[in-house]
Amino acid sequence: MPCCHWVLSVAESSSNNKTPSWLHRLHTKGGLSFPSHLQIDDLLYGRIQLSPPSPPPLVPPPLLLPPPPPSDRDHAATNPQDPPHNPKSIPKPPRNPAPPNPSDTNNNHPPQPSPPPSPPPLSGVISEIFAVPSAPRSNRLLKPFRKQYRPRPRSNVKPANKDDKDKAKARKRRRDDRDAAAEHGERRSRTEVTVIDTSTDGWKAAKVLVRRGANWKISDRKNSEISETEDHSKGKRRAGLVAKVLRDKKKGKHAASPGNIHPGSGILMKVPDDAAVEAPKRPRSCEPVPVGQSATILQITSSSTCSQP
Amino acid sequence: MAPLRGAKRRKKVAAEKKAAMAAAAAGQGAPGGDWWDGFCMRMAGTLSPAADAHRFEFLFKMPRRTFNYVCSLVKDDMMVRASSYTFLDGTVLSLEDRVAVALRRLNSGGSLVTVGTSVGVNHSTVSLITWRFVEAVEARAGHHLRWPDSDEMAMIKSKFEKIHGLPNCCGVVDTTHIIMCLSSAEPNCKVWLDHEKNYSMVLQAVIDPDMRFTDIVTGWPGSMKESSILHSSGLFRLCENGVRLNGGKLMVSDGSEVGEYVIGDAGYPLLPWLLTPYQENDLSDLKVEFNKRHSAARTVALKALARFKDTWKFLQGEMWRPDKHKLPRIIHVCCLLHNIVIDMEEDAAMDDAQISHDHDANYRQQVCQLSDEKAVRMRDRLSEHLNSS
Repeated sequence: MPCCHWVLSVAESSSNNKTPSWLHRLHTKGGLSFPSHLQIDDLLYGRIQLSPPSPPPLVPPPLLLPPPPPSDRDHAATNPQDPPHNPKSIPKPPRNPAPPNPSDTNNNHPPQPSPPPSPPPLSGVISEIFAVPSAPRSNRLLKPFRKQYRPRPRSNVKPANKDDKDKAKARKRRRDDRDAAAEHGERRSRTEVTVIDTSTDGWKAAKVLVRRGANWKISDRKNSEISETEDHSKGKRRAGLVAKVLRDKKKGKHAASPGNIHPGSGILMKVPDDAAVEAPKRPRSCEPVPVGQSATILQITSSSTCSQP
Repeated sequence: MAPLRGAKRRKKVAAEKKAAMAAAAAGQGAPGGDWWDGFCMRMAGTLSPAADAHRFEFLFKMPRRTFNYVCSLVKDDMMVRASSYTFLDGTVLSLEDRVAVALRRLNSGGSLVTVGTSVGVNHSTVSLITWRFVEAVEARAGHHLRWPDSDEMAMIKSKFEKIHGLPNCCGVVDTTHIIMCLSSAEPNCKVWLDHEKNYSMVLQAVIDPDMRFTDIVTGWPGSMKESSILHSSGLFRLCENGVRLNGGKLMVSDGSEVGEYVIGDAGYPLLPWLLTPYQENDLSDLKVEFNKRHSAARTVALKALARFKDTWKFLQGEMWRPDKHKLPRIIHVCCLLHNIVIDMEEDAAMDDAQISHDHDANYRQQVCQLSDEKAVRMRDRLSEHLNSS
């Protein structure tokens, strides 16, 4: 990477404590003069040290230092007495004044007249590369929002009518309720459950359970009948294999004969309904089932029980 | 010896299967052979010696006659694809084998693997057979769980009056919790968290004096209270509209009438058709007597639900993340089987000493303070009538 290479060369030059020759050549070609004791910190923090280099700092790293008072920085950055060396190379005053050089922290000298400003783009680029938070950012302007030269028209824009207002009000009311519930630590949950209730016609139904805190709201799910009401025209299995068998059997019964063949004996039996074929009337303990009645139903002889398919 | 591969392996498997089928056919053709003998041989390693005397009832929680009746009910549905389920040795499961596997799954409380290993089938076969059985019983045995007609209701009322001293009582309503294991990461799992911090599904049942279910509601999550479940049930709607419990009225001592009613514990509201006990502290003798008879009659429900959960241990054990849309159907089928067993019993008298009264262990009694003014007056009149009669 050329950028990294360049940074490494700058660091190497600063470690030698003298201005590298390539920098001199650059500035000479550009009409710039450069002090001989330029250090890497000067490049990083944007200030050029005119005084002789101080001993290495004994303080914490420069990133943790608080910025100096703004008056100092403003003064250093915008001193009108500094003559420009070259009108071409004089940059504009930096937007973000540079923080003090950490190598100056032990320096008790009064503030010196500001030197010619260092090239801010250079320090900015380095600070961005090293992610120095206290360092000045580059002077690149923020990219403005892209202007839509041909903005797309919104397709669903309609003139607000009364219904829309009502809907908006209802939505706002719901949102307020929800927020109020959330403030009390209550959360709205929606759960779909399958409920079996033998007292209802479709004894098996899907319900939607909306719970908010201790309050319950129960509603039937749309198309809630998940048993007994099958649409045969769709031809899709919806309630399991047994339901399919019953359906097929019913079809076969209508098509073929009005009776059923008893599976054990092969005798043709005429049954009124498909649902309760062999079942006896529910016996109560007080009204015992006649032996003969149950025997015809329950009689599974040993030979038949042994039969394996 | 190196394992067989390719055609040799396939040939060996086919030969083994053929031999197993031949053996099964030979057993089938034996004149004195019974299905139960073969099944006992398969389960010989897993049967406990103590169960030898009543081995069949120990295994299936029902007598052989009832088992045969269940087989006849589900025969057409269970044998749709007769050769689709086999034992591990390749033998095809007969109808009785399939019903036995499903019943073992529902009443043993064991896992699919445990049940499969005990009877010698793959665990996935156990799962498929059990679900087929549930569908079949659901479709074929619905008439075993229904609201009694007028004649049956007259019998129920006379039994409650004779045994517990409560005239015109038509049943006991109670609730139990079917506990599940859910992951806390599961969406909306808190809905299933009941007041005792268990994940559960609720079963509400109306029970007659023979411990038979006459009405059930299940599928609601455990966080719902008894009163909420009752309020959302078809029973509530029908009773409020006068479609149910609209039979003969009881003429009490002061000349007024008391209609048909069911009784429930303090977790239910006091309604004209649902009488709950007095909950005050200082009760008169009349009220104490009413509470005493009320409590005695309610033991029927406690026993029935305890027996139900003790028989169908699938529901008593803590299921790991069950399908909450399938579980109500399994509960319903267990209720149907519970009623079938009672319906087929020769002697309805149960050994009370063996039946626990605690179907919801460690659950505190819920309390509902709602009461209807008309119901309060009706309960007072009934208390006076009990004392005078």
